[in-house]
Amino acid sequence: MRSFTELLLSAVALNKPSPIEPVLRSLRAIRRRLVARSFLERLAASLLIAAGVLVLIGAWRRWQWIGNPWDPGLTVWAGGAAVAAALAATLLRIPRLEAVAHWLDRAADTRDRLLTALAFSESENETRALAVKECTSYVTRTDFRPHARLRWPARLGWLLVPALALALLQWEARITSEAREKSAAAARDAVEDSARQLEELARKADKAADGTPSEELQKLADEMRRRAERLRAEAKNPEDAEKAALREISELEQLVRAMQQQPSASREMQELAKALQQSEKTQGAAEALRGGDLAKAAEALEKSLQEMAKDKDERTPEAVKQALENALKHLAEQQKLSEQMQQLRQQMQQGGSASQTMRQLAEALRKMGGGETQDSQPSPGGRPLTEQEMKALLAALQNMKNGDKQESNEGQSRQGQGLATMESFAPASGEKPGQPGEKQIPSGNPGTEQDKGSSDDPFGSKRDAAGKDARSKQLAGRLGDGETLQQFLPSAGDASRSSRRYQELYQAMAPAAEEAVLQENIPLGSRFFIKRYFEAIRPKE
Amino acid sequence: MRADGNAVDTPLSTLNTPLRMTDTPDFAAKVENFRTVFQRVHAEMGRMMVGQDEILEGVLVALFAGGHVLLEGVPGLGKTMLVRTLAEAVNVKFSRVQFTPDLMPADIVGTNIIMEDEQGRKEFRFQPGPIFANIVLADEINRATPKTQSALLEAMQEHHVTVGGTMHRLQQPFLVLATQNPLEMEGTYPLPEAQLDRFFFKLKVKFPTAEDMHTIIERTTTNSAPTITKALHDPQEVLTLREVVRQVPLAREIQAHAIDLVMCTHPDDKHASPLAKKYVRYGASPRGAQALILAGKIYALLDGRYHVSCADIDKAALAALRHRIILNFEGEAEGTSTDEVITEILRENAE
Repeated sequence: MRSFTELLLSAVALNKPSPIEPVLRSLRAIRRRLVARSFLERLAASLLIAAGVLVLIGAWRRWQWIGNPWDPGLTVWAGGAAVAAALAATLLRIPRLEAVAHWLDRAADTRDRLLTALAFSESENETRALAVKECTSYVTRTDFRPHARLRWPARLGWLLVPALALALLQWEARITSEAREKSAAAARDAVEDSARQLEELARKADKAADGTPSEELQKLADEMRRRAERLRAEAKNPEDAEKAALREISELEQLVRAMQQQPSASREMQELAKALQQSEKTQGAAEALRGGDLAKAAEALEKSLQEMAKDKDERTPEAVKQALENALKHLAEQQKLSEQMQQLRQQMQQGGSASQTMRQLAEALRKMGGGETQDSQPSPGGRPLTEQEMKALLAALQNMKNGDKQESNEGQSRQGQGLATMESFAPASGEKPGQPGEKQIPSGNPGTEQDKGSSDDPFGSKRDAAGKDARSKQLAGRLGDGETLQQFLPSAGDASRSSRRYQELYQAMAPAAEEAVLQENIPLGSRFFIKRYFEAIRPKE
Repeated sequence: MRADGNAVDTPLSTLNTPLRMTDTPDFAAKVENFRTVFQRVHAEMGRMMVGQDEILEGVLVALFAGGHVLLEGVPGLGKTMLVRTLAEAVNVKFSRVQFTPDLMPADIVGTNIIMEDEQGRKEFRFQPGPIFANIVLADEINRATPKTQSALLEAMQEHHVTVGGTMHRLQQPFLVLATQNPLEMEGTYPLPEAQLDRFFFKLKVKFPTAEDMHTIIERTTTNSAPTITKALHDPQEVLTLREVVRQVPLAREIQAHAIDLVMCTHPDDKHASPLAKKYVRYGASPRGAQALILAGKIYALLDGRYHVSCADIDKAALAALRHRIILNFEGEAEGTSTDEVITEILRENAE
């Protein structure tokens, strides 16, 4: 237990001023300046790093077109992070007084007086006290502040480089953005006519479908509207926009062609009704088919069969048989019921009974009627798209394509052609193609006449010996499981890239080698191997 | 002059009066007296030796540090004159030994000879050699055989010689100043490393400048040759001054700096300089560090300080370490000098 006197003495000793107090005061003052200077240096370095990162981010944003290369918010954030990092690094590395003394001794050429004063501060030795006194006296009369002057870090000037880079990026991005805007506007202008024509075509199709509802026509109109919208949305630059417009129109054209080549069940019914119309006794069934009531048609067909059996009418079945043969022959190639009808037709051709055939047809129609309209309602598809409408659509689409090409070449407006196409769309009822006075519907296809100059090929389409259009086809095949014949063709130096030079080298060196072999006294037993070696290295022919 | 460029104020009256160090009351006064004596001796020697201030300072530092000096230089530069002047200025006994290949150890340390006393009895009596002096000039030491050279080893390190089983103490202060000619290497015996290590400093005597040559000629070819005034009454005062030197405090950081310098001369040390790693076979011994510290203390006193600084250590580095570093074959072949190695070490430590 320490006595009160000891505590008092220790307290007095604690309050006793240190003999090197001036030295400590100077060192602390210099340390503050060094810390501030270190902070500025670290701040400059951190700002440089942050600026570099900002440049990288800016370049990435410019590359990815995310936004402006220079983001004020991001800049503030990076600057704050740089300041915080510099502050943290500075605070974590505050130098000890000994380190400051060592640095200042070197900087001010004090002959290690500061370091010595710190080292001997606690010593009671006479000589050391003398040394401390001398050092303290020196420090007291010396101003060290010029050696630790606060100044802006020289590297701060390098911040101009990333700043300039960011400014250039920003400037370049703005110019490029304006160019892209102009390009997009030009692209929208380029596709606007095509889109408007598509919408006009869709509107006409809607209008045509108003009178006689057609699901296919409605579908086509919707598709055209959708593609028009897509054209506007995806227009980025004029060249791609024109290509996209042509592509959309071509796809629509192919869609219409596919619809054209795919006969509907309703059309089959019409053909069947036309065949049954040719006989008086089956006219009821024909009317029911035209009305779309398949159950009623089946019923009428059963009834007419019973009447024919009752009247023992031999002529009517034959006529019906002939009409059905013709109708089925026409439809069998392109209709959904073709298989069933083909079977029927084959049965009829093989001498099957007409009554039997008609019964099977009635059964098939009953099945169809049950599948499509169980409540004997008309088909929900409504009126099918007629051949005339298909052709009008195709012609309109092809005229749009051709019009686009002409405009791109000649710069003429396509509005008139589009309207002409619209006028030719949906012919008046009762008119037939080829009749005098009908409106000429452009086919859109190049002509096939030779030397007329109406096709891309000046010689016209190729024709085979039979006079039919000849089309070249490319057959894509895959290697199956069957036998294959493979033959390797060996050649000299096939594993080398310089077989020719090797051949030349061998031809030049082989005689010398052989001569050497002959001159040397080689055992007979070894000659075989040497000869074989030279044969082995001989280049392949 | 002080290292920081300020002149040390020394009363002119004290320069003319021999000092008695035992009269100094405290350490500060002792230090002041040391500086005064040093400057007086230096000034006296400077009157005879022209243009060799660094050599004079080095010799005096070795004298007050208690070490020996190896002087290297071509003939005619006043090496012998320097030693003689030093002996006269410090008022001590001086002897000179001209080393030749046929010189025997006994010719240096002395030998027992038969002497007849007054009663006619004959006895062996030790006849001291020239080494029994305060300052011994071993002129062209590398011309003697290693056997003779090694005769100096015991005397230089232990300050005594043993002849016929009897140990004879040398007078204090004892200082060996050896010279060697760097040009004529034929028929010489290079000093072994063990003997080289016993020299406190190795000083290279440079050729004087043209201006100095004028002064030398004027002084030596006229009747106005200067005379030497004794700076000390008693040679033992040198020993007192040596004690003052050893009392100078040294901070541990400064001591570490001296040790670092020595360690950096060793090629195997992790802090060795690239030049040392490449060209040095053996680095400096601990005696090198001792020489650095002692010389640093003297330089500090001469600078008016009571503590040693790194600059004092660095100032002594070349003279204290150049003969303690042994170059390897590659270094010899490349013509690298130990001074280059030390200079690079000093530069790296400063950075």
